[in-house]
Amino acid sequence: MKMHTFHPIKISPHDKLITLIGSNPHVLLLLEHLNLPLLVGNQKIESYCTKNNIDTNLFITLLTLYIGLPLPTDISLPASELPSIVKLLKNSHHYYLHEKYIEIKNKIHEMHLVNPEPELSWVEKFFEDYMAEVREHLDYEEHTAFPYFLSLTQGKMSNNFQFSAKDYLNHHSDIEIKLADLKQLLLAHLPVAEDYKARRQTLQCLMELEFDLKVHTLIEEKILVPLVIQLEEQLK
Amino acid sequence: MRIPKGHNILIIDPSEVILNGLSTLMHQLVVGEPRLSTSWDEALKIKNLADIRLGIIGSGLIHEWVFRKSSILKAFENARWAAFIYAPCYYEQDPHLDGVLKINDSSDTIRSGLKSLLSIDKPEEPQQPLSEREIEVLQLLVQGKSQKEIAHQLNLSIHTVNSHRKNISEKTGIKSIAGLTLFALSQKYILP
Repeated sequence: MKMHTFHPIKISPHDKLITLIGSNPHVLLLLEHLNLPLLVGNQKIESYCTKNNIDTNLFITLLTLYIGLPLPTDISLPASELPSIVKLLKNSHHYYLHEKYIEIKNKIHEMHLVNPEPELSWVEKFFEDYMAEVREHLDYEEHTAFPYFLSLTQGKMSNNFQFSAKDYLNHHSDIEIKLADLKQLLLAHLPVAEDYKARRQTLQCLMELEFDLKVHTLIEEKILVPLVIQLEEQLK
Repeated sequence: MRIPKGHNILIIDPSEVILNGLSTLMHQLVVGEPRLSTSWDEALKIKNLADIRLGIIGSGLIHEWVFRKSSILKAFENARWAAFIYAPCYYEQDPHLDGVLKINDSSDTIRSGLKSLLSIDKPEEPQQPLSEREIEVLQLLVQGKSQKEIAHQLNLSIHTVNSHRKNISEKTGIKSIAGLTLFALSQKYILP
């Protein structure tokens, strides 16, 4: 057997962004969450980052998550990147609340219009309750957790707020479980009538949201929380 | 369905490390040596190509599979195809792939993926209905009762209630109380 061709298992700063987007459309969402231009042209990752004033290491770490590759064990991002990560998470919240949840809510309603079984009205209620719960959690993040994280980067540590990484991450896990349950109910248990198209569209939207939430949780778990813990240790 | 043997399986990648790793995992599932190849030209010279039931393609040769797909699919007429991704790869969503395994998956995940691709998983079973006791536990759960309260009301141990709770989630595929409530309503186990 002859051996040839070495394949790196990392994204290189010299890779072209347009090639990555072509095979991983989720990368577009990452650019939007970072307020970066979608017109990437023929640029390599490194020059795209320099031009748009974003740290190349941070960008490659996020890209790695968005295309489903394992993160290296030795991620080392400086605490100064924390505001960029918080900005990305805030923009993701905006995407969930003002785009994706509304889209799913409308699709469920369409499903109910063509399939007027009571089960579908309960799905609408399930999703409304779920959205209320998500809103509450995102509100907690935006008004309590994120300001606390940002204050750490300015060398301040509030005594009024006790951050618990475990509770913080558990909230996301609850959100993901309910979404998976809704998918399961639509695929396995709730009666189907003439609602195939709307049901398929609802499921597609749910799966897109599920993917972004999964990456969102990984960003918090693997990047944000370790940085916060590191800053807290420095300030103690 | 007959369980495939090692010689019904082709593993192909330029890297010997990848070939040997996958071959070791395969040994735990099937009898006999899988066929290993480091290039498509070499693989296409194998005798009795139609005997191959599963081809596992490493990242290193996926791109060539995509470009030569029509002739490869024709030659290996009875094979299902899975990609083993260990490097950035732009073809893992190819519609002709029956499965994708990733290097960061646990051994258990890869093993169960291979079992499913080899169709040696348990045969498909109709969805199991809930037992009468499980329905009683479900009705109380969705009313907001704690496991302790349910145990007291049904005269069961907390351990038994917990075990019913796990069975309910396993049979329905639903974990949250909100989801189980919707399930219970749809099955008319509770009234709206």
